[in-house]
Amino acid sequence: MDISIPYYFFRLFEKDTTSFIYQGTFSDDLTDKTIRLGEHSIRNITEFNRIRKRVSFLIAECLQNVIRYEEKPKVLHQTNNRPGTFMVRNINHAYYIISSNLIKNEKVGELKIKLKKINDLDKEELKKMQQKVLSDPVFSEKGGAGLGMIEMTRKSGHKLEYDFEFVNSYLSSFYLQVKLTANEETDATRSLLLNNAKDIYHEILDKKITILYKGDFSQQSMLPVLGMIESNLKKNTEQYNSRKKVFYLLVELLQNMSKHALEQNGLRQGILVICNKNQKHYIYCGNFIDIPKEEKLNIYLEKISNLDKEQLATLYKEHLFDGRIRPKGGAGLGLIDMMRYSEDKPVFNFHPYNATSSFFSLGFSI
Amino acid sequence: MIKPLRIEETEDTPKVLLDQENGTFEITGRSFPEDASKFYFSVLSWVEEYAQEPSKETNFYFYLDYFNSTSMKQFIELLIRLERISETGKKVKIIWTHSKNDELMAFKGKEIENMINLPFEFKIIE
Repeated sequence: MDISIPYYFFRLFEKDTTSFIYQGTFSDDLTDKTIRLGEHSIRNITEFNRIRKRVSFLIAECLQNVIRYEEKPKVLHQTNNRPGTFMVRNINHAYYIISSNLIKNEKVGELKIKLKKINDLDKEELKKMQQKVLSDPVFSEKGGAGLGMIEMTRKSGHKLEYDFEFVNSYLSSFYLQVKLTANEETDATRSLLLNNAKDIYHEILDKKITILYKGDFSQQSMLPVLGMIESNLKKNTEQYNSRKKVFYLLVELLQNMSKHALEQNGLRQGILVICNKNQKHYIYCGNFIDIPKEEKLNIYLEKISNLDKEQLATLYKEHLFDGRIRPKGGAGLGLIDMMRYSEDKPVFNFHPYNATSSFFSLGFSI
Repeated sequence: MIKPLRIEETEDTPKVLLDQENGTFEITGRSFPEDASKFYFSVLSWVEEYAQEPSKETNFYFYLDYFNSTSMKQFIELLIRLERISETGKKVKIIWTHSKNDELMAFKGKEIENMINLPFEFKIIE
């Protein structure tokens, strides 16, 4: 297990109000869940209320592009094992929706021409082109991907950003970034570069991360995240029981964070990262805590992480029958239970952050 | 006879049906509310009132797909109240159901059985 993961990625996405990354198999079910997550992240931000529908539309369109056009090599090896990736990031006044998928090299030229053509058009011309594609079935058949891209450009109000990366003699990675701002005219925010997304893609791939969520960890924010993870687990884990245990551990972990993470400006900021290596799930989380609480938590975790399964079961039972009601609802019980289900010994650390808070990271495996 | 208690299922709370007249006592679905003691307050209160004049026989069904550790604590509270009813000579039985492949729910049921002094029947749902 690599306990440096939560803090490293938290710092990487520090300026993001919300970031969500998914790498793996894509399906329509995932689209619904991602839209819910996107909509939820907007709910509390007044300036984005106006564009909520557009964010949903762009998430759906981007994901469907990956589902429809992703090239899936039949035999996976080192040079082509590049699962599709999808990212939604909210930074300052902008939303970025980024996708990456494999395409055949022979299709790169044609797609480049289409994208360049779309980006060269102004608003009026885009509208006309869309009408033409819609009214002419022959044209739209040829246009294929065109219609979705035109619609995305129109809804985004910004140029599409894209790039192709050579993978091998047969395949390339296609990156697409769509930007959406609450107020197009006054947007002076420096744009996130597509190169940044490409770097992140490679880090995610390298660390075998399947899901990363950075943002608010209240119960209400958690439900769409859990829904998405559950639908991903259904697809990717053949073993029903390990899937159930992962979900069980996640709920405990997320609820622990929603109760105990330090609240700053009304939000409980934190990060959740799930990696999948050799048929095993590695679940990491990280959040801020008050420095005075660090020592007590450290001692407690040291103690329980060194207990064997039998000792943990006894402690769990003691906690269950412990009549004292804790102000935050049974702290300890969840942690003990998580330890019981972790396959490897759980890992944790504390990273000094500022004068008053530390960053607390915790990791389990199933 | 005590008035029935019906709570509809949500994304993170189960369906609860407690009806003395029809002899129906069941908790169904998923239970991981943010504040389990708040959610189960009305359930525990109902059982306490029911314990004043319980039926001769109480078959309490758990049809759970998933629950978190704070809900587990509430189930223990609930079962302790049912234990008290059985101590007065009334018949109380727990029927714990789970799907065939669900080792986690089966394990949780066995775990509770070992902690509570009530007869448990395990039923597998296909």
